[in-house]
Amino acid sequence: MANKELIYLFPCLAEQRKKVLQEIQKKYPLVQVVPITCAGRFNTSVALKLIHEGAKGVIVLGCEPGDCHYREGSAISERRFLLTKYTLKAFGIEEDRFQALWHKPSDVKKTMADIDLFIERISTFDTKGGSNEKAN
Amino acid sequence: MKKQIEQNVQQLLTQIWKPGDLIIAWKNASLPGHRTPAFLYRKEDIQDIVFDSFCDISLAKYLNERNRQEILPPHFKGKIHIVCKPCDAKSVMQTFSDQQISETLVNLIVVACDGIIDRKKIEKHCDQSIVDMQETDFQILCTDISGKEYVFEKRESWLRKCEDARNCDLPYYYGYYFVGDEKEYRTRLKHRYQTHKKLPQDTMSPKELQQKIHQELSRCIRCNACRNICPACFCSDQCVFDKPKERAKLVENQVTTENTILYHMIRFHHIAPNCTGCGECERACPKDIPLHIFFEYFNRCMEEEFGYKPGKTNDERQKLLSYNLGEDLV
Repeated sequence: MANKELIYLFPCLAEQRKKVLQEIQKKYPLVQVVPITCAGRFNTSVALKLIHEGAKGVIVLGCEPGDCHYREGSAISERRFLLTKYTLKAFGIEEDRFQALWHKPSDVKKTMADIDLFIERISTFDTKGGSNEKAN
Repeated sequence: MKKQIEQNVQQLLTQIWKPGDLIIAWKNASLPGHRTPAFLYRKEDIQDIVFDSFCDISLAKYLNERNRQEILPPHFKGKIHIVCKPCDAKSVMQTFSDQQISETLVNLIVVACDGIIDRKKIEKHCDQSIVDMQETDFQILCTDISGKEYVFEKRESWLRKCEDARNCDLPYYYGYYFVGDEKEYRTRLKHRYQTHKKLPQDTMSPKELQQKIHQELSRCIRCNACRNICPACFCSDQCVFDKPKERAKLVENQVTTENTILYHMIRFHHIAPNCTGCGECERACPKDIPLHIFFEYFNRCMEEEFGYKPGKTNDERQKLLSYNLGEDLV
């Protein structure tokens, strides 16, 4: 069950990323952090489910393709994330609600700037009302 | 004309067939205008094989690892001869490249098809139930219970996929037998190419599209027919929708429109990299939901973004599962 106000963040668990996560949680209390092992292991149908049920947005934080600890993880997932954007578009949902960010784990400034941009863009969308239609 | 093709298929099969082999083809059913899949083990049965424009069922589904076990007898060591339309041959190619069956086990026989007829379209125009249905070169003749006769143009009562000749392309594979004149078939296709088709995703605004999808999918009863008939869905043993207790519960069991939209969203997202656009899901749907607005969109997306057409060859791995270091990403 997705909370309607929340933005879900799925960071891959590289060790240097802890600093970024701490700062995000300080700045945005409405961002729910769900750590995963690698961005390549992320099941994209979970993102579809969250957005469909009314979450404001979903971000996946991964290492740059080529820098991945598991070598090909982020490379395959980048293709899959492109397909999820198309899936959202095919069903008439804003495709910007889902985004993947590729940054070096230790690069705090760039990731924070990108997340700021994402939250700004999302704030213009209205919440998707799932509960009203369920009653019919 | 049609009779000749039927004879040619039978002649070819009698030449190829060896004891212990299985033939998958169509045969007559008891209802008018219906053809059912036939699984033949004996040489005498080859005469029962039928091919005309009522053969709408795709037989490619029976080659999957799981479905094969249900058909084949234990200790089967022969070859499988499968009769296909060119659009189904693509689905067979996709099962090859998904490594569901090896090419050495299968003899692919592609038949030059002249458009398949949509029975639902014809039944809509008739007032009462149909007793007899027959075809000539360009027309279809039906008779009612009351004895009233109808005549339909073949071209107007085609299946939706037959209107676009891109679905009729022959695969790049040298191991198949072609029944019919191949040169004539290819020139016939050239006249029917639709260059640019507009889908509802291009013309409608997102809100209108959401409303339309909500309206159409509210009819869905979640019978899973679209999943069960799909040749691209082969993990039927461990499907996400089947055993929600053991794995992450993605879709609730309750049938509401919100849940059905999520069901179709996840299903199409899942099969997009190997959907050949055969249109079986739309044909099997008991509620006439126009599922083509989704899979046609995904087919175009795969071609534009990844430069990859599912079912074109027998050895191309799908783009979303494989990656070689140094390859272009998108």
